[in-house]
Amino acid sequence: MLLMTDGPDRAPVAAQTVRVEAGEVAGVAVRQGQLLKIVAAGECAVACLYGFSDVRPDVFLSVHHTRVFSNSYLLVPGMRLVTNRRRPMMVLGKDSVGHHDLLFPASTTEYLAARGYAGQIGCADAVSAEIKRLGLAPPKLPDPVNLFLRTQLHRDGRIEPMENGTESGDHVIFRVLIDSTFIVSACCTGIEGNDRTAPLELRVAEDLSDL
Amino acid sequence: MDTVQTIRVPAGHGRTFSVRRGQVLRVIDAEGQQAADFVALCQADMTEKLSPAHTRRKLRSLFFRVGDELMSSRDRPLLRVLEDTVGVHDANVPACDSTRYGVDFGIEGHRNCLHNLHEGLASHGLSPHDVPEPFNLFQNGPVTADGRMQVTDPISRAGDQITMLALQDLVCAVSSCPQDIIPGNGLKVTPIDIVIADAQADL
Repeated sequence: MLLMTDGPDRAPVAAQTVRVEAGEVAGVAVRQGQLLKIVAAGECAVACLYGFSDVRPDVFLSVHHTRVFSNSYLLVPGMRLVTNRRRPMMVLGKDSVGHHDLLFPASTTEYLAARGYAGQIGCADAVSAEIKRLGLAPPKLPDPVNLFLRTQLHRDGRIEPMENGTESGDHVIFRVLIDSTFIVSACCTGIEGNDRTAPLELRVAEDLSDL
Repeated sequence: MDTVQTIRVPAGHGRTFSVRRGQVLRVIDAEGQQAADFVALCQADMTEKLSPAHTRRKLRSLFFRVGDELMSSRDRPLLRVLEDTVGVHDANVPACDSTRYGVDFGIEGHRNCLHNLHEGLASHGLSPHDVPEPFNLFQNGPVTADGRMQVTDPISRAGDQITMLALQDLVCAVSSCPQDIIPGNGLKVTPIDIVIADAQADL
């Protein structure tokens, strides 16, 4: 719980864990002040993250506004991830990996099929279906924050995909600042070096000791 | 063949126009050091839009060069870069909007690129959320050694231009970025000129 001057402003919510199978997506609701931990449950995992305000359907996590909010092409600990209205949605508090992508779009089933990834559902298609299933109504499908996706950004602007290298148990932890529903995709990205799929775990708790 | 259309985008304002497949679009920094936010949507299906993110994935680069194709949200090339007298543009920063000025600088009621771009696109039935992420022509956002985005002025001079070939029928919008608070337009907002022609030779 956040340390509020006048004490907690709501009752604690029980910790929960949601598993995202390789090649699939899942969603989880997180209250203001809770921690969201995203864990690689297999080698070379990539977690494509989407966030939607539970209060305003037209407010969502924006990777593009996140870059300019911090004037950074890279996601690093302490950075605020902001909405399309430039308000902080969450802060990256812990990071065992240190490589993430804020630049590439989500894969689609069509994109993957055209590149030889037979039978894989695209991240955008799977997330769109999950948005519908959860009854969310964003005005558009945002671009994702591609956690664990490893590239090397060169000073001349080249974005060089690297071997992912994420190990089982690697994780990031965010402090969430507005009531939100997060959808996380473990679908194939179609980006070389980062195109294996692996399961993920989404853990939500009030305190670090409960994650 | 003659030039089809010339448009002056007044300083800090926007204009919306159509470009047919095979036509050439030239965007000119009239007085220098002025960013021009540029968006495009397919005339036939406006859910397909010019996309900086898909272009980055295709080019494996933050930036584009002469000869590169700019991609749609469905991974189709929409424009090919034919000429570029500057070589420095941005495709990584969202359009400034009311929150850019209200949240970041405490200024309400400032002109902004999202409004400028949407103003004309609204006549096509588009909402502000339908306005694509922009290519910020002439904007300068170099990568620092630690992967940060340097906030600095354009290097473009008066008359510098970029010329692109339309590969599909497009509805386009350009905003002369009204940012006059931080580096980005040399603290002096100036006009952008647009020329549309049937062939490059006519420009």
